[in-house]
Amino acid sequence: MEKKISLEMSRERVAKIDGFNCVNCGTCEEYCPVGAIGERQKEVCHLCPDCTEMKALNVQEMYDLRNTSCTLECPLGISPQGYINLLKYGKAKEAFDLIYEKNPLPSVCGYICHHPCEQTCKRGKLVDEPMKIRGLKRYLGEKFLDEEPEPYPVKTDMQIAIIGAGPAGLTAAHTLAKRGYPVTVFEQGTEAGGMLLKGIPEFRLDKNVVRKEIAKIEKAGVTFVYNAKIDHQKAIDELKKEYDAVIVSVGTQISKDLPIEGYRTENVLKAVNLMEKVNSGKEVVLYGDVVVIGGGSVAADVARSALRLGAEKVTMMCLESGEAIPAHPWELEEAEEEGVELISGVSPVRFIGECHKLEGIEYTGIENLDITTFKFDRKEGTRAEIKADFAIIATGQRTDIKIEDPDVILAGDIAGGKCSVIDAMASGRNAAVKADEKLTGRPYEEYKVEREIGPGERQYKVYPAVRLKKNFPQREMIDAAERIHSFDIAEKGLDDDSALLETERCLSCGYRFVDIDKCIGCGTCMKVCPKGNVIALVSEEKSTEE
Amino acid sequence: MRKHQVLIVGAGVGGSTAAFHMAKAGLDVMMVEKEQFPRDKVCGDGQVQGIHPLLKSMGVYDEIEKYGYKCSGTLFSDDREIQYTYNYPDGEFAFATPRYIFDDIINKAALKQGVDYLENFEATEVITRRGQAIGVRGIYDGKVVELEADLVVLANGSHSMLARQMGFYEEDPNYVFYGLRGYYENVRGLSDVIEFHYPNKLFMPAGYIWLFPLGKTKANVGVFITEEALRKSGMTSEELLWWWRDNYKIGRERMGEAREIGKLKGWRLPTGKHKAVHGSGVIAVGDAGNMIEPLYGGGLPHAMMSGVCASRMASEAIAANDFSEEYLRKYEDYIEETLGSGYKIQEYLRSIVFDTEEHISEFIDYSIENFTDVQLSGGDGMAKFVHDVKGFVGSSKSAYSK
Repeated sequence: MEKKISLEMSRERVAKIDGFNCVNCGTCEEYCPVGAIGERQKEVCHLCPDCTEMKALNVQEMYDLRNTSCTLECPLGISPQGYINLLKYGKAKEAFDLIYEKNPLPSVCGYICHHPCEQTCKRGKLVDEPMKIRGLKRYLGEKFLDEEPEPYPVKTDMQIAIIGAGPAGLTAAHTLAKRGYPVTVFEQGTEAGGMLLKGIPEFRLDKNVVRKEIAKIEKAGVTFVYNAKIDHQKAIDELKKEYDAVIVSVGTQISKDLPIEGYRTENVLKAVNLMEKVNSGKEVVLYGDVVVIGGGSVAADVARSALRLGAEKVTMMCLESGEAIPAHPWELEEAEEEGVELISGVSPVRFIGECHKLEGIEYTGIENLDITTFKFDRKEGTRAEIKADFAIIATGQRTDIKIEDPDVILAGDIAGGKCSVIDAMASGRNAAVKADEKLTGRPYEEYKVEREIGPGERQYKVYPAVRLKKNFPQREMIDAAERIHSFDIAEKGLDDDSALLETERCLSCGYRFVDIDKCIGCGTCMKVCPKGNVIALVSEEKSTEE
Repeated sequence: MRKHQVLIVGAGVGGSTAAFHMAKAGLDVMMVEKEQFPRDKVCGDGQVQGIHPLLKSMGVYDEIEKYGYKCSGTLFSDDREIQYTYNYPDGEFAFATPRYIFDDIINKAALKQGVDYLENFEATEVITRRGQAIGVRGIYDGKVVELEADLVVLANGSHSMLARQMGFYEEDPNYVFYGLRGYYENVRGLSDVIEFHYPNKLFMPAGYIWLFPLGKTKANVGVFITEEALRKSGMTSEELLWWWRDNYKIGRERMGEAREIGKLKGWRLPTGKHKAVHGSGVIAVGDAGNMIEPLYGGGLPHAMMSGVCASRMASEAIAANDFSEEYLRKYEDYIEETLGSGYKIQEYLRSIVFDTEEHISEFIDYSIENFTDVQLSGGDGMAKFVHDVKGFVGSSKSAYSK
């Protein structure tokens, strides 16, 4: 008797994601072996005036917002909606793990990240204020700060050397250690942390938090070698003999000069030197009128530090004006609250004074500024003087180290590009992935922040109108008059209750969906889902039901 | 809290009417409400003749008559700005009462019947056990509270996430309208008639600008438009109102010197009742059940009528002690009986008259020719249309007076 055997593989089950329960963390997408999972953004209704504080949209604008998402903005590719909502549903540890998976310095980011995610938050665009994503990250980071990590198992004997223990180097080290490499980090100083410890003022970032997070990286299996200054090709060549891959992330540590007349006057200081001194606990005393030259985040930090160091009046002076000022608006706002004055659209001509005593700065207004080359024309008849006992130059940093070795992978400031903490970390992570690719041939999957996001199905539309009736916590700063007297942290953190309440504000506008044409029904997504009640395996017919 | 026989979510017109009739019939009713009464609601504020018997049956007609501004007719205009006014027969009026007052009167009437009542209760979801709705979870005084009942009545309006949870929610952009409403003073040219202006194809199907007079120079002005038409217009509903004011003679006359009182507000209006609105242990009333008219956007009568139907259903279900989906299917029949013919006529008119500006112009020409001071009676579609405006008479009248 002939027996019929069917060789056709039948796919009995496919995965189905419940868009109401999904928190859009993206874990399933990362684990899906066939790339069947993608992200969709729900419509957030805002067609009526007076529904919220924000101006009403027309329908097309409302539809267009479906192309934006907080998940696209994080340079590290972490989904804020994911950890906010995991926290909301009582899964704080899962929320923390979601961050720690890609970001080994979560609390550091919780303090000082410039949070591009908050800028695209739809709550901020459509309802009132953006979610306090950074505040929640700080809350999560500090909640699990003292947790002892298990060392990552070493899976290979290929050695990695990383030069420089700033945020880029630390992230590279953590990423590679996680992938099973033995990693050694060389640091020229006596402590790891780079600009996090040396550059950022204490009132913005708690140094103990930085140290604890670095200790966790060390406990996870990364070796640190201190007092190891490796800044020339010969030393790198030595390292290359011993190590299979070398990543250089030494940063830019020298404040640029401002070579105008009188710049060698004694009281003309440089931002990096000053901050290093202050952060290392050396006594620095300023007095009288201080002028900070520069308009970036460093300039704002320095200006605020100057107030705390005894200056009576602090003025920031920068080339750019209006929105072109490189410091973030909230940094300028906080500085202004504390009494820092800003003169924008000007350029100094000379420092006035004898070699030991600065008396003032002469400057003019400028026009036709090209912000890429910093070329400009001085405006006629705008010459003015400002009294100054100290001038602090914060017009950017540079490095003397030149490495032109195709075998070495650069990361962080030295690799060029954007220079915020989170960008440095993203650059470190990409360097790590490149090194991994070089050594194992695993495809270089640069964490793609730019992805296609599909418009959400209609049944998931979000109505902010029904989610307004709660008294949400406000972002709390210590009073400006009080905070300028000490280097204590200026921004208050969220406590358990206010953090939970804050998560309630999230409109939850994104969700993941399964492309059933690609799904093979393996169920991996269901197993890795940190929330647990989102994904089910259903028969193929059922997957298209609402 | 103890278990009730019926839990009504939402104490607006639909919920309160249902509560009134249920409590009057002797049921043990609990009603919860997110806001605090009195509260505002986006609406044209008109109460046409069709609901007057309902108001009388609740004993609130006299009070509403006291507050309502009496309107004696209805005006239509088209893109050519040709107007047709239909004057109601002698002694008949439509009222225009601000919903801030109207809803409070209905709400208080229900409470007088002995309904248990909780304000500031924000319902978040229907609690279900083995597919059966057994109560509602919500936030009250900063805490999560659960209320249980044999029958849950959803009457919490057009944004009801509970109705969405139950699968009652209307998503069709051709049947979800958006309403914009503002109060204006110094409006010129009002004459005690309710005005519907059908300016342009931008508003099609069925969209219009309304003016409900609240005084000699004061009016409730608004825009009523489908989401689909709003998308095609490329404007916000607010911009559409200004566009009408700036581009039409009648718009300039009415609104040219008008002053806004308060703020413009908008609301979502799901219409047509295309979906079943009953489930196991749960039924929906009014906007939560998409019961707004798909042509005129009238919602008050439908909310009240469905409240009456819900009360009838609740009494029967409790008598039979059966809250299954099967048994509650009768609720759909009761709605069909009372409101079905109205919906059918409106759907029909939407498809043949209010689909293009030319058809509306034809209709207005026809009306001017045939309907001036003629006592109208049923017959062709046009006449039925006017009947409908006149206050839900004709085929649905018998149901209204029940």
